[in-house]
Amino acid sequence: MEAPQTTRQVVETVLLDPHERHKLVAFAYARFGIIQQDAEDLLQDTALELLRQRHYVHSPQGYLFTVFRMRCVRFFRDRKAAGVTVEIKETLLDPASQPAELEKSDKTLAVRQALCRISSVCRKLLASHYIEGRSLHETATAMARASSGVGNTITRCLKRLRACLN
Amino acid sequence: MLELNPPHLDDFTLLRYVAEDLDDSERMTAADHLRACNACRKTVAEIADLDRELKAIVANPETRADFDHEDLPADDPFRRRPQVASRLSRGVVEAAEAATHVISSSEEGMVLSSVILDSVKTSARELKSILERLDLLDPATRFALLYTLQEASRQITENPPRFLAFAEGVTARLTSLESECPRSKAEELVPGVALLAQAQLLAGQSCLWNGQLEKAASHLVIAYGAFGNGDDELGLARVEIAEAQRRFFAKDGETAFVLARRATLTFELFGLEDEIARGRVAEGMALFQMNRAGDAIACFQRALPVFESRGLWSNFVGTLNALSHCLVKIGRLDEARRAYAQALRRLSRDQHRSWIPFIRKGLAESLFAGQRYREAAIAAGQAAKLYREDGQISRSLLASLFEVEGWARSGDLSRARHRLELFRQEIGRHGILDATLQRSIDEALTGDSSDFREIAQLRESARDALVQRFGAHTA
Repeated sequence: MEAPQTTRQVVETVLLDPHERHKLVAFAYARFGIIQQDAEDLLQDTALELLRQRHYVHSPQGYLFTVFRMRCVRFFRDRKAAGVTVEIKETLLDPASQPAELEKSDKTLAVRQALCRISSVCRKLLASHYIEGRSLHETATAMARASSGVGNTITRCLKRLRACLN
Repeated sequence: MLELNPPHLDDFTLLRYVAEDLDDSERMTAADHLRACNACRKTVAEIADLDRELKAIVANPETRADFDHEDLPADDPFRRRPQVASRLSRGVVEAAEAATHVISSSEEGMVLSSVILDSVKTSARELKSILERLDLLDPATRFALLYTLQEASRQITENPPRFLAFAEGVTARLTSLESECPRSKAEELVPGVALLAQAQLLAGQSCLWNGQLEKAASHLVIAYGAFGNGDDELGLARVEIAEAQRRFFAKDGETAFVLARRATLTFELFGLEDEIARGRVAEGMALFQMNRAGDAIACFQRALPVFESRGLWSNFVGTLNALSHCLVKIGRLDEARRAYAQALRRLSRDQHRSWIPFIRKGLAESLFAGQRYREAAIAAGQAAKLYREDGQISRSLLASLFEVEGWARSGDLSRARHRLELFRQEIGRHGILDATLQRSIDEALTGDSSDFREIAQLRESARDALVQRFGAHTA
């Protein structure tokens, strides 16, 4: 286990390390197509975010990656909403720039967070299928009998859940 | 002849396809479409990925409950978490030299923050003067203010009224900020909205501790919006925890649970174990209020080892007491006793001397609730002694009264009277013995009601008097 650090120490020891910076910039490009200058700005904002916090972090690198990645996600999302399209080249990266394990747990957490935010109708439908083993179609039909517009709600929720995996 | 492309398959149909929920003819139609449509093939791959994730969430007993909560009502200001804005502050700290300068501003801010915090705790006049003199164009000052607000939040139980005054003072100072320093370097490094959010969170927490639930709500709503504008996911989650606590006090466990869970997930995303544990405690409190004691106990039990390993004793003791309260409520008194015994074994008498009386007092309350009055009286007596040795007079006196009630209910009236007499002498020494309290003690000494209501009334009167004398946070 890494030694705990304050968020400011994370900035000093990790974020100001050129090698770490290079890895994160490479990750931003490979995963989100974010060019170097934007990635550097995102790194700067990550540093400021960490300096504005004042707590101990028990996994400095993991924490830094999470904060940076979330900034990349928001940047990517907003750019997409603004209609900017980005082509992500299938370049083979230094494996160290893609912390696969962190990304995997991030993905699960993203789905869990999205589950919290979708409509309870959709959550109930998914619970009925995934927990109780009921048919999706039958449950949706029963729900539709009870309230109209269920079909649209479910499709919207699934789109939302799917979006958080990207 | 014009050929129309068939419409794309919707997400629900694709989920049913992946989940093998389509009938034969629907399945064939979907498969035909997928063979011809690149876009739907891409979508179905994503749906399959989602299906795997959902199955993994269900398979894990710790995450299965994610499916299991209701929406907040449409008019609830916390119904949806504000979408955090993405913004780039270009070129603020480009060069390494500039970065070093920002870090030293933060260090300077750290030092200044301890000066501000001291004045918050000790002198209202000095605090006012400091707030008036703060140069908010200086990044170090802004860092200092932010750190002080954050630290005050962590120490909220120490003196909520003072912290409320501080939060209100900062908010007032910030109202002039816009005209003072628009687009300054300091504003780029520590935006005013970040300070406002933190000040409002602190104000909300202070009101919560003072029992002003409505006032707390209005501060927390402002804090929620400000953290959203200020690009701060963790801040949003901390407001959700405070609001969950507020709703718990307002007896609204259901919506408290939704908010606590939302916050815990964010802390999990950031991997902040101590905050995750605090989130679980908030979930546990809400679950308990929802009559789901078993689930609540599981939440508390998961949080306790984290607090212990990180030395967060205030959280540890609070959670232990909550756990025991739950266990007693569902008739598992012996487990509650074991939990206290384990905790007492782990804590060192010297190193954790200020926390041990809280545990003894919690044990006394559990035993009392389980109608084991004699043992409750012994534990309360030990708590009173330890509080006194630690200089916590108010708590010591209240624990003494608890001991009195324990002896009385156990049938040992002479010991109860003796302890009550000692209590009278003690409060006399501290100058708290007013006419009301004197009358309550006399009634308790002479009272012969079988439900010992005189002693219970005395405890209430004594609590009020001690709160007046020593402050609400000391009782």
